[in-house]
Amino acid sequence: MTHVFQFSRFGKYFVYELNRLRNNFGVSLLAMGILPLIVYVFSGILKMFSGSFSPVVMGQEGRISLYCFATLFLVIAFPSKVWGNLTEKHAGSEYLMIPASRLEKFLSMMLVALVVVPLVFNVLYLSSDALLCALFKDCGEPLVSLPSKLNALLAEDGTLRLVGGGFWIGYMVLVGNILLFLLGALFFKKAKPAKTILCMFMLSILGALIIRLVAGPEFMSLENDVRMRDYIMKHPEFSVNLLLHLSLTLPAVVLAVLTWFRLKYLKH
Amino acid sequence: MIHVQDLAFSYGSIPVLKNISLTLEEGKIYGLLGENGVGKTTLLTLLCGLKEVNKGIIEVDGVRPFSRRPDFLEQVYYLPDDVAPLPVSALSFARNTGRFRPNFNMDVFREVMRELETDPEKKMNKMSAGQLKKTYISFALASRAKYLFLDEPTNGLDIPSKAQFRSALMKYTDEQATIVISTHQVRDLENIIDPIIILDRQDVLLNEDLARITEKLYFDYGTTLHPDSLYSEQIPGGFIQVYPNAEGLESKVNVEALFNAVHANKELIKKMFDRK
Repeated sequence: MTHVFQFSRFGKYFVYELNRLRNNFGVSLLAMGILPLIVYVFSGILKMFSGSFSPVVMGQEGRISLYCFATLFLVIAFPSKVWGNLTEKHAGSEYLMIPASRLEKFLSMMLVALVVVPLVFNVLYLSSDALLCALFKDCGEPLVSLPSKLNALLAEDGTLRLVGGGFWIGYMVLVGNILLFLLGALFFKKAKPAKTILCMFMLSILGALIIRLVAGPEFMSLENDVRMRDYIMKHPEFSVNLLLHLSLTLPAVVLAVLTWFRLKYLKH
Repeated sequence: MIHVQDLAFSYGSIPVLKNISLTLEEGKIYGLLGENGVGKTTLLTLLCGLKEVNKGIIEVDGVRPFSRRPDFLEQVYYLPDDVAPLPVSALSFARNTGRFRPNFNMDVFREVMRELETDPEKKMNKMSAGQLKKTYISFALASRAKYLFLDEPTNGLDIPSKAQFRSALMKYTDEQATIVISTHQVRDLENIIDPIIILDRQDVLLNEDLARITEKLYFDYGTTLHPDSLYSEQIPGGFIQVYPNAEGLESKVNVEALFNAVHANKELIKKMFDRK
């Protein structure tokens, strides 16, 4: 079994992957993480042209938009920056010839992509945002408090309790998208993010068409399925949670499995 | 020991290798020769597990290379013709990658880098093509791998570096190591490769050590053409020609002439060296 998994070798390989992340995306990750501070300083520099250094702190909506934009950019950019060169002959050969097992390489990639990068980015970003909010009271609640606010809102409503809460749902949305762009980075040789988006778009249309053709227009329509409608009405919390978590987890699992097979059969 | 049996490989519908069988023994430096496109690089990448065979068997000490088992990869190093300009210093690359190889020796890496006059502190993506190649050569030798597959290792090296490479290869590789060097620059490596493998699309035309080659063939640097000459080429002051060594004379192999003689007389040479 030592050729499948060995803790000491996995540790060495994980450190190797961390170095790869630092070398290929370290500075960009840092810049993305402190984006609130950069935007704050940049707004001050712009204001300097009108005579004084008086930076502006964005309000809550602006900061949420900026966070969404930064996260989207991160998700699209980092997989191809860190692992995109594995599809190139020279870098890909170097990667495949490193004496670690396929499982160790896959697990290290997953840990870095799904835990380390989101964690580092969010810690940096939310700390920067919290710092600005602590300094300037008119900027509203820090972003870090928003998931718990959402949970509290849902709890107050009393009708629906989402298992895992806002934080977990947000994280799973992030995981699914990272895995999608990671697979794109390992699959396409050029224009990886653009081709991934295009491919996802085409597959969505194709999937919808197939479902429509195979199952007919009544597919998932509750009007004709009385039993299912009754069940959902009786157990709304369970049904919503089941649908939500299935729609978040299932694509992530499928994408992770496809990534495993892509790595397993990568050839140069 | 590397054992290849009835190997076939194609890129889509285009066949590259077919019916390739050969055995590579320990402690030898094989020169892998062949015309452009016969599949020398493909064979090397199959031997180290970067590609999967379509048909046939490759076994390296009983392990199928495409399994890419860590214990197999620890014993193998493949130096491609085109190497990666990574955004790290040579030293950092060696330190990060070498730790996976049980026999890797950092002192040997520094020593070979010094002998090849390359700065280990320099970032690899800031190096010239020659310096980058020398960095990877240093790493390959410092890995002290049991199986070393070198694809055109002297491409991009300047004249002094070629001699330094030969000297480092002899000095730092283990006596039990199996080294396969694919090259078109036969003059760069003429004095170190033995045996010689000449590959054809459908066949291995020759896989023999120099002693057996000179036992069967005579390399003549004379002024008159021999009637049984299999290949001849005019050179200043006469001819280099290859003909059957009927009289058991001693001569020195000229790899270029050998290659051309084999290609011009495929069936005859195969019959001549047939051990059955």
